Amino acid sequence: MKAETKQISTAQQHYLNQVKQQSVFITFSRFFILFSFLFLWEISSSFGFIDSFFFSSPRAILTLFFDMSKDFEIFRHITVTLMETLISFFAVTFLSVISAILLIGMPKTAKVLEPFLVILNSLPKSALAPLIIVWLGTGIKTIIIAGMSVAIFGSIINMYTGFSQVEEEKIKLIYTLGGTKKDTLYKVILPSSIPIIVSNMKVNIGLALVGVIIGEFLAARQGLGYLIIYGSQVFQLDLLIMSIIILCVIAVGLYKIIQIVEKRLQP
Amino acid sequence: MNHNIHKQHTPLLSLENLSYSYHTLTGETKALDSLSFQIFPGEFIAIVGPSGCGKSTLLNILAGQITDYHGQLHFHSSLFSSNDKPTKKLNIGYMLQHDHLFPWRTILQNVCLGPEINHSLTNEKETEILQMLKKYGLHDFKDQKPAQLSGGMRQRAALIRTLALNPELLLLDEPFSALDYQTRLQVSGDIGRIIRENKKTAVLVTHNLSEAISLADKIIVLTKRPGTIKRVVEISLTISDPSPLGYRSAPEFNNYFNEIWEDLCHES
Repeated sequence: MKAETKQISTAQQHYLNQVKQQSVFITFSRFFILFSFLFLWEISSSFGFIDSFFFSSPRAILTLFFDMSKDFEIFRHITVTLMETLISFFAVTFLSVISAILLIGMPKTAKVLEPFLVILNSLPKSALAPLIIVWLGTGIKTIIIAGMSVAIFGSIINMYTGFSQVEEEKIKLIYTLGGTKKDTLYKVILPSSIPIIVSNMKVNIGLALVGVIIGEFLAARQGLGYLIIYGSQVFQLDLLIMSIIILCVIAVGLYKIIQIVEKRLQP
Repeated sequence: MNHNIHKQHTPLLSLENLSYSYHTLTGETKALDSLSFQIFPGEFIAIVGPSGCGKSTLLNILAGQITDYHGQLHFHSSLFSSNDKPTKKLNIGYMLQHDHLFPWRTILQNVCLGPEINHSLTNEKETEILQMLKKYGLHDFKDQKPAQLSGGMRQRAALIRTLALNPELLLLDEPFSALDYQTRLQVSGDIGRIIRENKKTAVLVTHNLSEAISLADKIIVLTKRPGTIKRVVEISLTISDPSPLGYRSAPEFNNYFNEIWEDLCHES
């Protein structure tokens, strides 16, 4: 079969070049800022412009990371935090979707519960963590609950609001085609709410990570939150800053994964 | 050409003294008052009237979306109780102002929605639907998403979705109002033709008099709120070309238009 070659006009080629150049410029600028920051940090620390005891340095952090990698200790902490975050995240997402479905199916109950949900969502969730520890003791279970407590109420409210905003006419259509309440849920409400569910997931993953770290600050012997609090207590700032950087990488990674899922789910 | 159909003696649907009021915290609003008329099999009825006269409310009652009305509704001469779930018992198809094709479904999946919900999506049914898509120029787009179709094609797909359940009565609630004028003219002609080819009974609610005159056998003019029947106009057009412009060029068209327009002017 003969391959077809499509002619591109000079103006179109110029436009495509401009778009490509802009994309290259943005990527280059991002890396430039990152490496400049790391370079300045390293230089400042090496030449004594900043106190390396308090501010550490990229080289010291990398060295510590490789040291802790030798016996896989750092990966054990990362795995624990990651596992607790993922369990909290999936539990929050599942429970908030189920709660929103129940609330949408029972509008009177939703009206009754609305002020309670608003109050629970307005609470500073970190204040709940000590209470959860007193009730449940220390351990992974407590940290997962702490992670969930940060995201769950907001997530239920947002999902319920999103589900309620599905066009009335679309629901009417299902009834006119002979459908039931169950059909409106499976054929309209859930499929049309996928963007809302995914956008909630994006928020929830960050909040679950925050909750897990708060829980690990208070009730853990392992995990990145524990390393941060331990590093601050023994003035091992390399450990503290390294843990924060790893947390940043985890947060970005998890967010990116949800972005990929979002792109795949787009109609 | 006269597009009046021969009426059979048994009406498909009869309304007797149908009234309906909306209730809000600020008070009661009477939307419809003592409506009585009959719809015969194969008839195409248009309902026109001033804004807020209860046209869409009437369709919602016929479709069973509103059940707390006063008066009686007979379908095939048997009394239809307001407790009955209407769309299942009456086999009514309802076409709304917007096509409401679901963007996450392909055109085929969209038009199969009714049989899918009713658990009647057999291979034979799918073949029947595919034939309808072919007949009305949508077969090549069956695997595409609605966003890839024009407004007119989407409305045709919405009609096929409604016809897929083989309804005895089609309710059309301003189905062309979201389209631009040119598409509207073309799609209203197409949809009128499809409904006649399939020998369906239809009730069209519209603000557009030209559309009502060119499509319907009978026009029911409603008064302002509370809506009641002001006049029923039987339409009989002499046409040489069964196209939207052909109907509009019929010698009787302007008389009907002026007559109904005057009625509506008195009501506004």
